[in-house]
Amino acid sequence: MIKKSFLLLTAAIMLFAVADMTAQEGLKVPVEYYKLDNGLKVVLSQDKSSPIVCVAVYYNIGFRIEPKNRTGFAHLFEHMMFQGSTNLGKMEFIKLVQENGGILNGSTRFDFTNYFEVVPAHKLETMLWAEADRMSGLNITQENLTNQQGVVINEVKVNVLNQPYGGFPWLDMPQYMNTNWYNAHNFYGDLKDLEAANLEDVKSFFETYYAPNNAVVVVVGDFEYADAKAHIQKYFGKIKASALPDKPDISEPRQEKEKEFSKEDQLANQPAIAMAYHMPERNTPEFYAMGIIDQILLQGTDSKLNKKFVLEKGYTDGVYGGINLLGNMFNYNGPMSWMAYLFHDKSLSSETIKSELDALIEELATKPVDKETLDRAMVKIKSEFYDVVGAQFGLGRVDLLACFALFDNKPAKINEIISEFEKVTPELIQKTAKEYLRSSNRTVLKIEPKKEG
Amino acid sequence: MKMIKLLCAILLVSAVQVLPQKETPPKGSTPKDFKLAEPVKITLDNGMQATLVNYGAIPKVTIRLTLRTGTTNENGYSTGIAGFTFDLLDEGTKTMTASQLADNAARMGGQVSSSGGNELSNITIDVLADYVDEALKMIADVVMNPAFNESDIERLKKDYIRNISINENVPQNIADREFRKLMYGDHPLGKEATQDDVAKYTRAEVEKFYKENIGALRAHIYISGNYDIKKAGESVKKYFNGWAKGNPVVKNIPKLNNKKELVVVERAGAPQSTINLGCPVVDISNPDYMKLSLMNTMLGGSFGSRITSNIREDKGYTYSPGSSVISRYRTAFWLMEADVTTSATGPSLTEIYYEIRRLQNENPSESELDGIKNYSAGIFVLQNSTRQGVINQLANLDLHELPSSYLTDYVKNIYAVTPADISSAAKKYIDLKKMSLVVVGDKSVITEQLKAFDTDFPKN
Repeated sequence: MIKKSFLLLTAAIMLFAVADMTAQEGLKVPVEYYKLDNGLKVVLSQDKSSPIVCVAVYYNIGFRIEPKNRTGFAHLFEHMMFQGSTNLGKMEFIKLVQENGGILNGSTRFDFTNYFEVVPAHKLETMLWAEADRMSGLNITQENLTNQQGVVINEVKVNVLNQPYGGFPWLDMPQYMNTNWYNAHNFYGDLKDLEAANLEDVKSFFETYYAPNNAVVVVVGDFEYADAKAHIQKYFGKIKASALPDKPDISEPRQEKEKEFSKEDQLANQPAIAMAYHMPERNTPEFYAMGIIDQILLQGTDSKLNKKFVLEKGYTDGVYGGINLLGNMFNYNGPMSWMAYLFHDKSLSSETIKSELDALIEELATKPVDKETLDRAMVKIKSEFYDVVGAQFGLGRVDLLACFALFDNKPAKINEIISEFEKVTPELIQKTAKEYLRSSNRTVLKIEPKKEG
Repeated sequence: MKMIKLLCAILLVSAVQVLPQKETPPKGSTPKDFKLAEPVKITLDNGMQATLVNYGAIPKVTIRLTLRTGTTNENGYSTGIAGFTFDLLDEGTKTMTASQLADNAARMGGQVSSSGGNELSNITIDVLADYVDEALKMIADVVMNPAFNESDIERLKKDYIRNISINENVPQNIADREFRKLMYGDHPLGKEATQDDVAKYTRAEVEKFYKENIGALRAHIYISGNYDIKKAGESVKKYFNGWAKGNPVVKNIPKLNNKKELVVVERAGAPQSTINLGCPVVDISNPDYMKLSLMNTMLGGSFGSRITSNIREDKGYTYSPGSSVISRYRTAFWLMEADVTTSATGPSLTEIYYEIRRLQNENPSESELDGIKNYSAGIFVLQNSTRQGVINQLANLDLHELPSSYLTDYVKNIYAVTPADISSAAKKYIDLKKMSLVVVGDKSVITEQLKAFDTDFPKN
C-alpha cells in the first residue's frame, strides 16, 4: 500500500521470461546469436504466444561511466535519443511507435542504457529501421537540449527532491557504500551539472559510446528468423564502427570495517534503515549462492526477514530490497550490493534491527540450511524465471539476452542460470554468508525524520 | 503531427535542394490474426461464479478470487475497514498461521495476497501449473475460514498507523485524497482512513464487515494460464460449493460533484506543484465511452498526446504528465495529473486549458486520429497478452455488466470514431465550467498564479 515511487522503479525491471518447454528440463529459450561486420551483436528469440514483438537496443554504457564534471549525463543523454535523429524529428520517434500500435521506453542503469518498443508483430521492420536511424546519427538542437534539461530536472524533483525518502535507498546507498567515484557519484546528477551540459557533450558522448560495436540488438516475439536477419543487415549493417575507449577501473576494494551514516529528511515522518553488503563477483559460485540467500532471507512472505521482522516482531509491514535495486542480479556488470531496507517506528532502535539481522545471518553462516528451505528458494527462483522468460511482452527475456550478450558475450547463458543455482550447496551458502554478510562488509544508512512537529 | 507536416511543407518550398532527402519509415508487413482466448464459465449452486481461460505457453497459472465489495460498502463502518479486513485474510486461517500459509504458497512457486479495493477486492495467487488444485484449496480456506487473531489485528493496526504517517507527505497522495474528496463528497469512496480511525478498529467490526460483505454471492474466481480447465473447474466446485451464500451485492453508487472548485494545499518551499484537475464524465457503459476514451488518449493519455507534447516536450515544465478516465461502476471522472515546476504552475494550467479548448473547437486531423486509433488497438492487444491482463479484461466486463461483445467488437468500435466525434466528446464532457482543481504546492508562489482559475486560465 505504500512507497509507490520506489516500487515502481524496481518493479519495472524485476522481470524474468521462457518459451519452448521440453518435458525434462523445464524451459529452453531459443537463442540465435551473431555479429554484424561492424561489431553489432544480434540476439533473436522466437516466442509465438502473442502476435507481438519486442525490439530493443542496449548500449554498453551506463551511469557508472559518465564525464566526471557531468554527473547525470548518461541519463540526460538517454532523453536526447528521443529528440531527433537522421530521419526522424523531435516527437517523430514516439509518434511512429504509437501510430503503429506500440509502446516504448528507455532507461539508464549501472552498466547499460536501453531503448525498447513492443509493437504488433508485423511492425518489426519499422522498429528496426527506427532504432538503426538513431544509432546512425542524432540531430539535436540547443532548444531540444534545453527542453530536456528542464524535463530531467523535473524528473529529479518528482522522484527525489519533492518526495519523503526521495532517492532512499536506491540512489543514496551507492554513494555511501562505495569508494570509487564511478560507483559512488550521484547517478541522477547534481542539478548544476545537468544545467551545464551542452551540445558538445551530447556529440562527444554519442560518438564515443553509441556505436554498433558497443551495442546489442535483441528481438523477441512472433517473427521469422530470416526476415529479422535481413532487416537488421539492411538497416544496421551500414553503420560505421568506432574506436571505443578503454574501460576505466570500476573495482571496489574489499570493505574491512562497517560504515554507518544518517541522512536527515525534512519530509519524512518515520525513520527508515537500509543495510547493504558488497556482492561476490558476478558469475562466481558465491554469486549464485547469494541469489539463493536472497530468496531465503528477503524475497517473498516466506522469507526469514519477513517472518521475523513482520510476522513475529511487528517491526514493519515489509522488508524490501535484494540484489541490484534498479534491476536484477544479472543486469549489471561491476560492483553491486545486496541490500535490505525497511521503514519503522521511532521507538525501535537501529541497533535492535541490526542485531536481529545479524542473528539470522549467523544462523545461515553456522548451520547448514535445511532441505525444505533450500527447495522453496529454488521453486521461487524457477517460478519467477518462467515469468521473466515467458511473459511481460518479452521484456524480461530481452533484458537477460541483451545483458548476457553485452557482458558475457553469451546470450545462451539464459538456459544455464537454473542449473547454476542448482549447484549451490548448503556448505557454499554457509561460506558465502560468512564472507559476504559479515558486518565489516556492511554499510548502514538511516533516514532520520524531521524533528518533532 | 500537424506542426511537423507544416514544417515539412515549408521546407519543401524553400529548401528542397539543400536538404538531403529524408527516408520514410518502412510500413512493415501484414497484420497477424489476434484472437481473444475463449473462456469457460461456471456457476456454483451457492451463486459463486467461475471463469476459466487458457493463456500462454509457460507452466504458470494466475488465480484471482474477486469479491464484489470494498470501500464502497463502508457505510456505517469505520473508514478503511474493508481494506483492513481483506489485508487480514492472508494473515492466517483457522488451521494455518500466516507463516505456514507463506511457506505453502512459496512451495507452489507463489504467494497469497489479499487486498481490498473500491468496489472489487481480490485474493490472488500465481503458482506453477502443477499446483492449481492445491492453490484453489488454499484460497478457499483463506476466504472461508479466516482466523482474525487479536494479535494479528493489533500488529496490522500498528503497520497501518505507521504507513499513514509515512505516506502523509507524499504530494501525489495528498492531491489524490483531496481530489477524491471533491468528487465523491461524503460517500465512502471520498474518504481516507486517519490514524485515529485505525486506532478504533476492533475484531468485532472486522468480523461484522466480513459476515455482511464476503460470501459466495459476491464471489467470482478467474483462472488464467496454461492448465487443464476441466480439472480446475472440478476443483473449484469441490472447494467452494460449501461456502455460504452471504448477502447479495450492494452497489451503493455515488453521486459525483459537478461544481467548479479549487483546493490548494500548502507545501512550503516545494520545488514542484502537484496538480489534479478533472470533472465527472460518462462511464464505460455509455455508448459515448469509446469516443471519450480516444479523446483522452489524444489530449493527455499517451506519450505523444497534445498536453505531453506541450508542457513536457515543448516547455519542459514537467516530467510525466498524464490524463486518464477513472471508470467505476456507473460513475467516472476525467483526471489530469502533473507535477510541474513551482514557478510554472499557472503557465502549465494555462497550456492544459489551451489544449482542451483547442480540441473542443477544432476537429483533429484524420491522420492524428488514425495514429491514436492504431495506438489504442495495439494497446488492446497488449492488454490481452499477459495472464493477469486476460483476467483484468474479463473481470472488467463482469464488474460493469458489459456483454462479451464489448471485447470482440472493441477494435471495430475504435475504428468507427470520427474526428468530429473527438471534438464533440471534448466539448460535451470536459466542461471547463465544472472543473475541480487540486494543487499541492508552495502557496507563497502559486496563489497569485492560480487566480486565473476564476476565468478558466485564458491564454494571452
